[in-house]
Formats: sequence, structure tokens, C-alpha cells
Amino acid sequence: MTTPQAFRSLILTSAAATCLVIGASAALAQEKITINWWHAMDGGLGEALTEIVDRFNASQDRYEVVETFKGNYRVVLNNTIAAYRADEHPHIFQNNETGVITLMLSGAIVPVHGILEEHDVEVDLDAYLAPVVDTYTRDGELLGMPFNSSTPIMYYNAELLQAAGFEAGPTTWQDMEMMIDAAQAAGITGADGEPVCGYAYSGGMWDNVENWMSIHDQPYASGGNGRDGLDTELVYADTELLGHQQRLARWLEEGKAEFGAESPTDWSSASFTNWGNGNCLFWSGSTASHARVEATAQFDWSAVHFPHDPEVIEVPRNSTIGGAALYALQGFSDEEYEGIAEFFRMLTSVEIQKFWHENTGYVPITKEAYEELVKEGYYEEHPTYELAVKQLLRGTPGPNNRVPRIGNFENVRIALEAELEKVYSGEQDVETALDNGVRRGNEILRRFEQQNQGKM
Amino acid sequence: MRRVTYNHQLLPVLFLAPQLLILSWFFFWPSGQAIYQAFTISDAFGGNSRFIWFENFAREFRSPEYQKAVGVTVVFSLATTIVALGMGLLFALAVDRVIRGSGVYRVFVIWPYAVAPAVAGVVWVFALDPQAGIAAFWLKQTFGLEWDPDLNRVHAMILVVLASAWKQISYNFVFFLAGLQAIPRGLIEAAAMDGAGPLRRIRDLLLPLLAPTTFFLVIMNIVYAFFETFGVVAVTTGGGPGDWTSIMVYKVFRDGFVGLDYGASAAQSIVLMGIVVALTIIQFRYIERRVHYTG
Repeated sequence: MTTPQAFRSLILTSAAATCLVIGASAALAQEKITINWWHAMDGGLGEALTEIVDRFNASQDRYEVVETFKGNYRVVLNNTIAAYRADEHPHIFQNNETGVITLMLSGAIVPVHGILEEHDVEVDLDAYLAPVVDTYTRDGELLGMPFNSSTPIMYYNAELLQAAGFEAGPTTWQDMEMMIDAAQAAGITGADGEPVCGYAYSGGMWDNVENWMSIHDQPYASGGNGRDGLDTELVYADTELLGHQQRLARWLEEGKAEFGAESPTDWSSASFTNWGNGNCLFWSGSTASHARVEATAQFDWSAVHFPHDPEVIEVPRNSTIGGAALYALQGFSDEEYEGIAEFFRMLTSVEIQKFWHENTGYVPITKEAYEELVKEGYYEEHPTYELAVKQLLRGTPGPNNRVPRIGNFENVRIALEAELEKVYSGEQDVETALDNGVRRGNEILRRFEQQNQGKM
Repeated sequence: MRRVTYNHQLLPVLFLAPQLLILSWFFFWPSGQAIYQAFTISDAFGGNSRFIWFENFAREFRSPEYQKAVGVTVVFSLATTIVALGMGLLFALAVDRVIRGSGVYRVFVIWPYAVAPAVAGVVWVFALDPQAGIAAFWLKQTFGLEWDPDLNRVHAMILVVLASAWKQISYNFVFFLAGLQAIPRGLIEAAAMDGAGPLRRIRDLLLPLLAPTTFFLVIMNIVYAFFETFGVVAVTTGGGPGDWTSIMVYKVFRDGFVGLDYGASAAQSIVLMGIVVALTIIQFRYIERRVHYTG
């Protein structure tokens, strides 16, 4: 039974306790300046990230970085937007390569370049891999701090390929088809006992559209892939992409490829499961899938560069990156930005870059870190880890060899993905799919232009 | 009977205040925001906001993708409602006849209702996964059927309908069972003595007497299918293949939280709300007349 007196004393006690807690945390806050970081790295990637943060916190006693996993990139962005509107946002957050223009025009971020320079951290853009730095810069100014960068490569089942009489993986799409034909003609079966499936294909936009186009120097959108202004329009339907997508559609029809959709919730796909179970020769995925492949594949595997088509391009160009950068948000004190600068300085150190690369498969983003790894002989033992770096370093990125900088890129991707799925289910042909993708995508771009009227 | 009356003017207001406060804070305020947003366009962070009258609505109605989503939603909602109601009724009729251990059955049938839609989706993804799912394996073994919700739009629709209806079956079951048990035993026994078999009794006696329950459940199920199912779609098909499971509420979610177009998203949710309100009014005006509340 609660008497009024008892109730009153209860209130008083809890009030006193609350004061104590608040007082204690205020005292702690005086000791160290907290830098909150919202990110999208879980599993093995998250463990590597935590290790980096722990090392930073142990290395000095002025700042404390507090990392929080919020969900995938999309969830992190939505949470950040909601928090920003309520003025409860973190200092830094992670956003992927499709969100650059959204953040660039938002007015919510503080370009990292200025933060670093103001706090005497040298910014030498030439020190980074060109496709990495190019993705996150505007007029030579770094908008976000490149963090995790990857690019697609072609993984293959070495045992099945060897059984078909091949010692090395393909370099061209023509080679790949020839190998699939040979394996199927030889009656080789996958781990499931069925005739071997050639290419485990996920219908992903990142590898077989955007990266394929960069490698083959084909324009995705007008105006330098969107760099010149918000009036950019999609042009991919009028490029060699048509031929490539027709090849993939034909492979699916002829049983040379098997479709398995990307998971709507994580980074896996039914096609990865299919390949990982040992049923297929090839699977294309991010270099950051190394850990997943190592954990899943119960067979000898290896990887090669993402193939090119010599009928379209003689010497393949660089692929583009996927992955994310860290953006600093508006509204913090100079001391806090100084902490951010210090943290970023540490992130780009050779030591951390090596650690991150070796533990996740994401590429080292500075040339110095890469060269040191070469010198140490790391790639002699891990040759497939080097593929992505080499692929990113092929030539200087021109307008067609960079991540399209277009608004609402995620939705533009989803539109084309949906249209291409209708090809695989026999509802329409590839030409119609690309045209529809362009139509739907352009509507999204016009909408974005309207949303950001007068900003660029 | 003596009625208790209060002369205070303030007292009823005081009693109502907490509830009204909660309602305004959690319902009226956000709804108002949504309605306002439906008439504006802004960038992702809410800046650059401008009032554009009905342009968001006009744009959606013109879009072939939106028209398709409306069609998909009709199929999905009807199928989900029919499956959920049908199975709920079937289980309720069965349990109503069980003499021993009906408590155990009841618990098991009610259980799924405690599962969140997204989790239900994951459960069904596991069962019906073309590569690893038990159900997919069984279908192939027994019927030679290549189950492929990744590419086959009918399979994809079946997947989202099953996953959505599954947990709603429990809800319907509870209400149907309660409805059945409220029917006086004497009526049923009299019918039995007049020579009506179990099926005849269900058709001519139980179903008409369940009409008020059914009517209520139809409304609840349609509201559920329209509003609460985006989690299921988000974790199972992601709206695919080729937008064939992209129901309206999922499109609201995707345009808002993936596309970061809050104006378009708000406009779509207003339309959705309008449709459900209209459906409910129609049901009350035309169908309820045929429902008799007393046995």
C-alpha cells in the first residue's frame, strides 16, 4: 500500500538519484569530448570498426569516439535525417556512394576538407586512389571522408572450372561463356547433383550496369554522369549496355546463368547462396565479400577482374567504387570538429588502412598503404585481395568512369532493376526494359531537380 | 434506475484530458503533419520546402507505376482477407467441436498473432526460399513444381499473401471462436434433433449468426492488409519481381524512406487513408444493413 508520505519520499529519492546520475555524466563529459558516430557496419565489418575506434580512444585522452550501429545505409540516413530535424544528430555518420549529391545539396553537412585543413590535417587528394577520392569531391573539395571502398570482381569455383579443363578464370565475357559451354558439355554437375549452373546472377545494378559501364567507358547519364548539373538525364538505354544485358538475358534463357535475387534486407543474395553451395562456376560480387566467401565456400575458389567485352572496348577502364564515406554534420563546437579531424587523420593512417583492408577486403584507400602492402608481400598470399585495387587504378577516371552523381540514385536503380526483372520473367524484352528504366528514372531525376531547385 | 450525474463542468474534461492529449500527440499532430506534407515538396533534410497544392497527387495518379500498385493492392488485399478469414473460420469451427484439449489448440492457433509482421515475413522466407526452404523442397519433390518467387510473380504474390495472412488467422480465429461460443447450445441441439447434419448447421445456423463478427473482421482485415503489411513485403520480395508485389503501403515506405521524397510519400498515404475510410463507410452503409446483431 502506498501512503502519500511514502509516495512523496519515493519521488524525492528518485529525483535525488536522477540528479546524481546527471551530475556524474556531466563530470565525465568534462573529461573527454564525445564524438558520436552512426554507421552501417555489422558482423565482421562491425568488429573491425569497433577495433579501430578502440585504438583511437586508447591512443589519446582528449576525445572519445562512440560508435553506434544503426542498420544498413538506408536506415542510417533516415535516422540521421530524423535526428537532424530534431536537432539530436550525431557528429558523423556513414553514407554510401549513391547519396553524395543528396548530402552535397542538403546544407546539413560540413565538408570534411575544410574541417581537416582548419585543424592542420594535411589533405593531399593525390594520395588517395583516384576513383575513391573522385566519388566524394566537388571542385577539388572533399565532402566526406572516404571510409570503406570496394569494387566488384568475379569469383569462381576453381574445382568445377578445373574439372572442365581450365586452370585460370576468364578475362572477357566471351571467355566466360566459352567456359560455361565447355563445363556443361562435359556433363559436370554441381554440389546439388544438377548440371552445373554457369553464372549465379543476382540482377544487381551495381556490378552489371554501373560498373560494367564504367569499365567499358559508357555514359550512364548526360552531363558527365550528372556532374554538370541537376538537369542531367539518363542515357544508358542508348549505349552498349543493351548488348550486355541482352547477353545476360540470353544466358538465363539458355541455362548458362541462374537468377537469384538480392536480399531486400542484407548484402546477400539467392545467387550467392547458389554459388556458395558449390552449384555454379561464377558469381560476381564486391571485393568486400571476401570474408563471406571465405566463411561459406567449402571448395577451392579464386577470383579475377570483373570481365570486359573486347568487342566494346580493347583496354578496359577503371571500375567504380561502392562503399561509403563519413560525413560531418552541422552544429557542433570547434573542439568537436577538431576531434573529428583527429579521428579522420588516424583513419587514413597506413596502419589503420592495412588493418581495415586485411580484415574486411575493402580496398586500402591511400596509395601509400597499398604500396606498403605490396612491399610486404601481402598479395602473394592473398592475390584476390589485390584485384580490386588494380581494377580501380586502371587509367584516369573520365566522365564515364565515375559513380553517377544523380539525385535519388537508389530509386533510379530500383526502377531499372524492376524493369529488368520483367525481362527475366519473360514479360518484356531488354530494349523495352532499358527504355522504361530511363523513363522512370528521368521522372525521379526531374523530381529531385524540383526538390533542390536553385541549389546547384 | 437512478442515474449518477455530475454537476461539474470541469470534471468530464479532466477525465477526457489524458486520453485527448495522447490522441493529439500521437494521432492528430502526425496526421496533420502528413496532410500538410502531402501538399509540399522539400529536399531530403526538409529544407527548401514549398507549397505546391495538388501536384504530388496529380503526379502519382499520372504515374503508371502507381496505377499498377493500386491493382496489385486490390489483388493482395482481397486474397489476404479471404485466406485469413477462411482459415480463421475453419480453425474456429474445428476447435468449437473439439471436446478434449481445446485449450492447447487454442494457444497454438493464437500464438502467431504475437509475431511482428516483419518476423512473420522472415519465417516464411525461410520456409519458401527457393534454394534452402523446406516448403520449396517439398513442392519440388511432390509435385515437381519449380518454386521461384524471385522471378515468378504469381509465386511472389502467394508468398506475401501467405506471410501476411498467417498471423491474421490467429486474430480472426479468436473472434470467430468467441462468436461461435456465444451461440446458445440449445439452438444447435434443436437443429441437430431436426435432422440437420454438421455442414447444414454451419451453413444455415452458425454462419448467419456469425454475421456481425464476420462483418467486423472484414473491416479489420482490410485495414490490416492496406496498412500493416509493408514489413512483410520489405523482408520477403522487396516489391519484386518487376513491382508485382509492390502494394501501395510498401510504395509509401519506399518513396519516403528509400527515395527520400516525403511529399510524394505523404500524398500516397493520404490516398490510402481515403480509400480505407471510403471502404469502411460503404461497408457500414450497404453491407451492415444485412447484418443482424441479435440471434
